[in-house]
Amino acid sequence: MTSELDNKANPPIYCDYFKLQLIEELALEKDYRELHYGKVAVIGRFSSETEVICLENVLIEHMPREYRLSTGTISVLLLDFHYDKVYGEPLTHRNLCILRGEVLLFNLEKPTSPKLSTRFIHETLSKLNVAQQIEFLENIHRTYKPAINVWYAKRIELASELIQRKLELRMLDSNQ
Amino acid sequence: MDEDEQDKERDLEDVLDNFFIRKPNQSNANNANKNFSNVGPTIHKAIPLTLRDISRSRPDADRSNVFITKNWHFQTCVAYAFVAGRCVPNKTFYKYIIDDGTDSMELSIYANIAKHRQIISLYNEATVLSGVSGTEEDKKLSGSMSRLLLEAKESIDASAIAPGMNLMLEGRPNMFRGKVGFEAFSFCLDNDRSRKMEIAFNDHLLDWYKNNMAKEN
Repeated sequence: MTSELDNKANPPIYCDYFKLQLIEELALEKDYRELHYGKVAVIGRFSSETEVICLENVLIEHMPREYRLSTGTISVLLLDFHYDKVYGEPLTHRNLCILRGEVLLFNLEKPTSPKLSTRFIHETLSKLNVAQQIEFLENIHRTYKPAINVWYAKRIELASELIQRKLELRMLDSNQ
Repeated sequence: MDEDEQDKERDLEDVLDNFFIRKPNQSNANNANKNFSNVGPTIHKAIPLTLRDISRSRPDADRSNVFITKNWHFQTCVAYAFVAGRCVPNKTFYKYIIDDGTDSMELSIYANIAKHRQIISLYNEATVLSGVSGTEEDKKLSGSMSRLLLEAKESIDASAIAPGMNLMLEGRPNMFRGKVGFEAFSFCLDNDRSRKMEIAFNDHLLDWYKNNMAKEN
């Protein structure tokens, strides 16, 4: 465990552009030290019928069959969402949309407690000893969930197609 | 008469030169020119690029107004981006922050105020004309003129760009104080719900990258 903790000691660098992340990548991240840090663009289905406003995943047709998740299987919480932030056509329940904002960790048990970032986790871990680190991580994973602090929203069509193109762009970028 | 003689002399000289002295030199010179123009890299225009590659581009030391990124020489490029914010504009340029998911940078668009005013006054004139009593033909004509001018106004007036919009841009990198920005010559707004234009642009870009990266290797 010690070596595992040490390996991830380098603090992440803030992503200063809206990098496309899949909802699956955010919602299913098991280790919050690996969570995307910074600006993010996500494409999904807007859901506002329940008390919490969230963004559901969309079926990506071009993915291999074993990695596909049908639309609405998982979702990620939206923070600070307001209809003023929607550009162009109004956004309603079950509309496909692209959101841009920032990834944060949100405390589900105490909604008023401060929202955390991936960097905060790294910085706190660097100040603790191993036993404390393990305890801290367990606490964080139990109470906090990844969420998106929304800055811009826009209703779109052809979401699955757009995700495919943007993923290819991302791959192009990481190959360099 | 003198002129004629001079012409003859010149002709003779030219002919002699062809056979004796200058021909080999000339051909050498020609070859040198040809080689120089043929060997240089292809200079592309309007190639699709990601903002990441635009931010990595650098000016070509040998040619003015040519930029290099990934061994591609280009004069102008096209990009598709999201407007993420405003910057402080100056007298001649409107400035925004653009972002395409690979990088973000400053965008400057020339504020063509004179042309913009001209089109607005023409538009006003056309709308006034369509209101004035005249024949049906005149009204139709001035009506379509005002619609046309309204369209023209949209593609010239860069002050209408606001955060949250999507833009297709044609322009070139703009280096200032060590930072690379984007200087756009023309822009096209794409704010519909349909993402066909964005998808089409991305397809074009991915195709271009795949074809040209393969060639390099």
